Amino acid sequence: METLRILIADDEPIIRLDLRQLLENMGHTVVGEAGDGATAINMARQLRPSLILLDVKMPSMDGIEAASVISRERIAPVLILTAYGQGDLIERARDAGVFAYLVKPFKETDLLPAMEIAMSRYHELATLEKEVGRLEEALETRKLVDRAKGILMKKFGLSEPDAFRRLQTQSMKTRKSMKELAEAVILADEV
Amino acid sequence: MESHVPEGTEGAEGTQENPLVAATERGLLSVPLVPSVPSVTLVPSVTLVPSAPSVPSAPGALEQQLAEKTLEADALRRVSEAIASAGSMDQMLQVVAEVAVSVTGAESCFIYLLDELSGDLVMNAICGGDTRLVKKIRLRLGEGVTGWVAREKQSLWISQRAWEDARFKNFPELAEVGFESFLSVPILAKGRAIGVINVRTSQPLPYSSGQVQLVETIAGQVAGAIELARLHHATQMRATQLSAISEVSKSITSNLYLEEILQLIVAMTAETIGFTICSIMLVDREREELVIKATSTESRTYRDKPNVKIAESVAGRAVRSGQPVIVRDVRETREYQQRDVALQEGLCTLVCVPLSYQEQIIGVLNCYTSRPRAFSDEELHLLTTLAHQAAIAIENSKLMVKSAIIQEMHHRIKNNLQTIASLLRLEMRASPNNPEEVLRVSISRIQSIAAVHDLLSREDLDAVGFHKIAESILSAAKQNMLAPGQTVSSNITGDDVPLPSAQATAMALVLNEVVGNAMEHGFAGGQPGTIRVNLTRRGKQGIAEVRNSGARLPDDFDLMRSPSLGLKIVESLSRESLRGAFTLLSDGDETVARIHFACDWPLE
Repeated sequence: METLRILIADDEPIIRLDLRQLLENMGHTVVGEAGDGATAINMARQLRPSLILLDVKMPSMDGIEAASVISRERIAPVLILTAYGQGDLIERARDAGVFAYLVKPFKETDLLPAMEIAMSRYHELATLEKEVGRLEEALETRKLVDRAKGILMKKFGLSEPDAFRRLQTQSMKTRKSMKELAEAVILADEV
Repeated sequence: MESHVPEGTEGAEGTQENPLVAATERGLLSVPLVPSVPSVTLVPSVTLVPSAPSVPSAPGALEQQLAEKTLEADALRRVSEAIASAGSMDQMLQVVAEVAVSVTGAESCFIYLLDELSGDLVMNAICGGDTRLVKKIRLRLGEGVTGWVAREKQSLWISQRAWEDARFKNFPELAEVGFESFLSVPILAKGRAIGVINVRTSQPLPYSSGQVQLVETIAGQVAGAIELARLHHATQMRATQLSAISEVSKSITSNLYLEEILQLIVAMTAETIGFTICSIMLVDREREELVIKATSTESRTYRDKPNVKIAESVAGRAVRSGQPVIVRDVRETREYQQRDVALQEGLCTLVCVPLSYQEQIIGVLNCYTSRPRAFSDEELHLLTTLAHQAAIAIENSKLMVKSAIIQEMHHRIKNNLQTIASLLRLEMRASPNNPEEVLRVSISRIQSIAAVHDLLSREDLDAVGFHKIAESILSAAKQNMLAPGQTVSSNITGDDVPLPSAQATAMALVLNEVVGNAMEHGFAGGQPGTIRVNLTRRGKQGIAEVRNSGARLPDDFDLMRSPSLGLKIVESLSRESLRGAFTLLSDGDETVARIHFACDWPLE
């Protein structure tokens, strides 16, 4: 596992002391410690850590609320620590975009797998989101090209393959993307 | 003068208390009792079958009869119309009173109705008299001519000198003295007298049997209408009561707080039955008292009244017997403890219904009226149901609180286990080659956490006093850490403050480390010494000091650079959990550990 920059938030200083040592012994860096949810969010925004460990029960704002803000802002994956093991809490955590959780009192050996799960799920999600973005872009281009083709077919009485070929040739000639070219054709037509 | 008394009534009359005598004793009579036999014509209603009308002999008589019949028919038509169209019972009775006056040629008519709850006859309509008296005049059954007619369920008419009748009762407001004639007809429904129609004149008037019969017929129609109205009213009442119960049931299963639910119950009860004050009192078993928990009144006099003893009060009797208790007038019984409150608030009848849950009486629902009032079985049943709902609401909320406490305890325990696991791991890493030391230090830390739990469980689960924490840490340290023969004395002085559970645990851990250090480093090698713990409170800040007389700190001591895990724990707990700071310094011959901490419990 790569070296992580970690932010920890728990209102019990002793537990934090223990967590810091555990993480540092694994070779990670603890970039910050917070005692409540609101501070955790502020520190996360400033320090941009690569992983955040949040206790659920904290004053001013609980860990799950903090987690939902952090995940909405796509700052880093969140690993929740909780003394409760009830279903509704886990459901709340999932809805808040939490990727993994540990039930207190946790074992040293449980920490690493939970961290790995949080990291890999977060990356998976990031990859998927990127893929979705790419596909959306492709779909958008396809729609524009279709419209441009229609304009050319109507204007010049071309068949569909001919219209497409014309766009393609022009794209290569002008070194513009098909999307840009299609947009230009549509714009010209509208004017 | 002659009197017609039906057979069989005479004997009964003789044994009864003469209402006149009773009235005189109460000073109600203005007319002296005339013992002479009054002029009375008395006919039981059953005998009032048309008294064999003589065959008319002359056309003139025929004409008169026709006129009479026309009048009768018209009167009955007007009554039926009034019954069918009147917007209220009062309106209908008003029309009936007017009709009665016109068909009898009397000067005035009073209609009395039976008040089911008190059993009294209450004046409900007046024609030809002071209408302000409506609902003001009340008669006991058997009281006066009217009361007699209602009780005996038979009509009575007196043609002249009505005041001389033994049954006559004078109401100065009605100015009946001087009235010569009187016709009184019972309103009978299903064989029960539910009211009386009276007409009277200031001149002697011989009522004809036809007139009597006509008024009786009208009375019969009125009886039917009243019964119908009563049924309607009863149905409506039932509907209101049911909706009150359903409202209350709904509130119990809602998210309302207990105080709000009980407040709703007393308000609903007061409104549905029309009580002046309604309140719920709960049993305090320790003091054997009843304490007000919710009340419908804003009055401070009532709200601030002292608790009542279960052994000697009306409400207490309901609790002791487990049965509803009704007192007709609390101002007239010694059993009611707060007579002055009753007088000031105008409280009269009190109904106490016990609140029972699983055969245990946990409280009582008290309902007061401002006037003497009786209660129907149905009303008592409703009150019992509402009291039962209140009991369920109370027990329900107790269970909710219990389960919340269990949840909270569960959470605290798990969190503490995590703290212990962390402490063990930290110590293991700090002294990797000395497992014995790891265990010794860890055990003392765990004991200090346990000490707080112990204190919490003995006190009220919310907070522990600083002195008690210090005491238990000091005594544990002396037990565990003193060398054989070593003497270390200790004392605790200064202010005491309560610490909520999380802070108390942190304080216990801090004191444990500080006292442990003093024992270990200050009095090393078995030398004797003193440890003094002192607390000073300055507003929202507390300063705890632990002073030891043993060896001094090294001159170049720097807390922040100390590698000691114990001091690291103390420093971070003081800063975070206690929201203060920790300093370690030398003061003359003494080493002082000073803990500043926030003391703002309980939060306002």
